[in-house]
Amino acid sequence: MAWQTGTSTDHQDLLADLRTFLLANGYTSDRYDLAVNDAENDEMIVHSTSEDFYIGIRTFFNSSANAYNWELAGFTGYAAGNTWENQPGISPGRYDGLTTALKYGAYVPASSGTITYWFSATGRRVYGVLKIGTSYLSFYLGFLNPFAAASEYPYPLYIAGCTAQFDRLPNSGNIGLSGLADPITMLSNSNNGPAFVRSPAGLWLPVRNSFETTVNGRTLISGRGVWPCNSPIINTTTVPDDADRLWIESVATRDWTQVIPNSGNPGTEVAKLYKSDDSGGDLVKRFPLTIWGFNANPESQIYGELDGVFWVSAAPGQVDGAVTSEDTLTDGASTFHVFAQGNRSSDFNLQAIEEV
Amino acid sequence: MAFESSTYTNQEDLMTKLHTFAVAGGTDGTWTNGELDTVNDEMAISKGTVFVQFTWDNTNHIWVFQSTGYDGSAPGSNPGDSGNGADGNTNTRRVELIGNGGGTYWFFSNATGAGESYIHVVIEYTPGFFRHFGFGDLVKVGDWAGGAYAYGHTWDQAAGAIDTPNDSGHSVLLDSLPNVTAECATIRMEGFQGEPSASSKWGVIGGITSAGNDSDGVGRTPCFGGSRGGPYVRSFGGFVASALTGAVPGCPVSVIYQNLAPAPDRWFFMGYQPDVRVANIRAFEPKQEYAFGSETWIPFPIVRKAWASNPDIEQSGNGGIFYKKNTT
Repeated sequence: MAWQTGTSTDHQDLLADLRTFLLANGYTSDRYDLAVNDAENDEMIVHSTSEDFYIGIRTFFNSSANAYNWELAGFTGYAAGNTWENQPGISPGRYDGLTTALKYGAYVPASSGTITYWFSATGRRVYGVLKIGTSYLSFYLGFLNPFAAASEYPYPLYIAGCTAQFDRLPNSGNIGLSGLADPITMLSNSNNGPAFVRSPAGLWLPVRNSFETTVNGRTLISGRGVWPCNSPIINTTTVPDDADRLWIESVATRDWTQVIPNSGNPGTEVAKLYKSDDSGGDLVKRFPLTIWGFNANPESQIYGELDGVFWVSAAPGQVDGAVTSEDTLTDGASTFHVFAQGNRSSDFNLQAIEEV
Repeated sequence: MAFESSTYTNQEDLMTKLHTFAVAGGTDGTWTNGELDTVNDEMAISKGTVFVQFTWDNTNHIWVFQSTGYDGSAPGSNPGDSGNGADGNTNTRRVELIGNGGGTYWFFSNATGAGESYIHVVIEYTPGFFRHFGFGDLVKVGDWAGGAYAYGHTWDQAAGAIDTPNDSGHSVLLDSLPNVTAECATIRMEGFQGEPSASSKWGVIGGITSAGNDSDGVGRTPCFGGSRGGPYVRSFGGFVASALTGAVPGCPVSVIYQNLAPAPDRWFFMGYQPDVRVANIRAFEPKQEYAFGSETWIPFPIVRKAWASNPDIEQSGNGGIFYKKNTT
């Protein structure tokens, strides 16, 4: 377990810093090639020494958008003689894909200037947050804590950036620049990114709560998502079977949609989740980000929780004030760091990562 | 030991066995005796700040009372009575329509001293038909004042409700749906913003926006629970066993205080009912023990595991409640 904060000079230096951090904390280098296709294109592939999963990041520059970004990927192995895109079991989304649809993937907007970062790594996963200007850009690479035995779900790999659009800039105000708690893809529910789960059946499935519309609004995607910002809909007219659903409250007056709106940009909440009263300082209740699929048999299930990443509310308590980005929360011996999702500032758009 | 299951012959036998289970010398043995009066059909026990009393009519119902203390008075008249549970009243908190013919009971508790105290009761009052009632301390988020809860189990018998398990005429555990305030679960809670008065000490758990008064005429605070809705069951209760892993999500039964005065509303997450999960039991056999890691849990239907279109008989589909069996 390891935690590191610091600054990097640009998107490539940031990757170098992350690689150094990982190799010192339980990861083995498989590839680190600089300037592969051009001067801005570095490739890193590593695997967890203890858990034997494969993850990678490559940097790139897009001149038309002036974007200095990261592309994230997961793999099922490593082949030294293969190019990046021909690595075994690579997750979808190439910044240099031949079509717009092939470009949608897991990306992190970065910069050619100074970047402040927070990194955490265990043998099971890597996550981090970058700060560029006033924007917080988050990513996750590694295993979920699955809702299954290891024999049932041996490779619960999850790859998440904070935007599905390869040339998104960190200062974007579009809703499609988001975070781990509320991933949003672009323009259609058939488009990929910004997160992917490797399913028990060995498929890469896109994970996103909504898609950004052409007018920078959002449309909810109901088949798969990240709880609590998106909850499975207990549909009153289709599936599951009546016996499975009609014992559950049918109206959305006491569920997450009241606290975390899933329409609009940013949307309007009906209720705010306040801190819970505690004599030691009001408590911020943390909710583990949980990946689910529903109405998608045979994969209707809970895949698992992100390790150490939570949704939290910014609302204050009866005594203590509101929660804001870069606040530190403590719970016993554990420490959590709070960050916004992208440039969002609403009370329902925070996430907390554990300092481990 | 903090688990017991056997048969009972009638309401009085059930309440006698519950009393024996709870107090010194019983299987749990950690609760304090208040009374067991088989002449007047009253029983009272307490532990810490959990004070509960019961009456029964030897015909249909067992009424459930909760208070802040116990002075030997009849149920409903003890210090700080919550206001829910009125002997003989069929519009207040009770374990409804269980007859007097006996059945099978399951008592679940935590007698080890670690964790929250509770006794959760399930009865199968006729084969295939179940009721749940219980009391204890919430697993609190924070250390706010209060946490003791009590609940009965009502099931609206009206046509259109009796076979509709998400009807708001029913009350099940710490529920999100019931709209009959007097039948709902109650919880001790003090010091929250927006309570009806500075001396308010009770919350009422249901699908309500106004909670009425306790027996002292002090306003009570509306909360909502999570046994048939709320932030967990609304999200995950519809999941059947995964075809790929066999896993079913078990939903905590949460309690949230909802301050409705400001806009937007203010929710305060209060905590969870200990050692209880709500889940879809399509893939589970009621009453059978299931091992999950080192723990053993037993699922039961909410009322009856069955589904048909308008059968005009109690049914709850695949809605189920899992209880943790503590044996040490």
